[in-house]
Amino acid sequence: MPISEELLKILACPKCKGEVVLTANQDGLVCHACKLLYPIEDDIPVMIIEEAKPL
Amino acid sequence: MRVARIACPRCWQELHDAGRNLRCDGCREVYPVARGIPSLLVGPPATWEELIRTLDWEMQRHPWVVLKMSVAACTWLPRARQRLLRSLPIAAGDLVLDHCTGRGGNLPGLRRAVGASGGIAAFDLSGYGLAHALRTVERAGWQNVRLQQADAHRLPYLSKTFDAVIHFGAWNQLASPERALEEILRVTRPGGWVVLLDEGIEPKLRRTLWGSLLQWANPLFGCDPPIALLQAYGMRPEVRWVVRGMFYEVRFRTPV
Repeated sequence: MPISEELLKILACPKCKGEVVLTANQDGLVCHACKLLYPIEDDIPVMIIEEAKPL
Repeated sequence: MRVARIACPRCWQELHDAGRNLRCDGCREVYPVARGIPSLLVGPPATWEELIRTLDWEMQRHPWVVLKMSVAACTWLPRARQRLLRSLPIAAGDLVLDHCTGRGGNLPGLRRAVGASGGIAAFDLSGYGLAHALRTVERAGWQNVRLQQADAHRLPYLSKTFDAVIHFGAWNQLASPERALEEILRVTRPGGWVVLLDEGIEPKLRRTLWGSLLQWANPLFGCDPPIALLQAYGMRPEVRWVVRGMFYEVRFRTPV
């Protein structure tokens, strides 16, 4: 189940509540403000700050 | 004075009595003592993996908890859930958040309520629960139900997004209900509905045989609805007890 446009419209970074964008290969969501990558595992975005990878 | 038989929950070293506190020999963590009872809680979980693993284990254990409850409460809980979902203030086309979805038990009822034109975002901290919920979503082929792994205290949604936020069954166990409520109020649109439902027996039933049996099956049935908390945040909650007085249901609209 790919990440839909509708979902991207409502998802936000749990840290700064700002916009997140899908990576080019669709395996994560990036918050440019916090410089964090939230992984997508088994089609489920893991939106947990402690699980995010720093960019 | 050396305190016997109590160890630091962070590093397992001995604790020393330091007046109003207990102090760890090893990591120097300080634990407060109130009315002679030490609070040996460590602030954040040791690791998030550990917390998530614990939750996953709870989720796997959940059917056994339900079975145990069923001994005391017969077998009508699933039907009762469907009845409750039909009574929610949700209309076709609404965008709804299933807050702490667990294994996704609410999703069929919520999907019926919002229809194909609405949408559902559902999150939980437990990957095990979400994997179960994902199977339900994929089997049904719902394109407008999306799952996320997230923490109730730091929601990954834009402000004023949802027409309704529905929470069934984990409120009593949240680390900080205040923080979780602030996040719910942030993501709900003005005038949107919030419904919180969790274990908590109707006060008049607590001392009955029925109430005692329920609390034996699950001590969380002794919890009270978070009325004072909601009022402190300026909400005007309506409370009722549902499913034969076993659960409290609190619903309110966010200010316009």
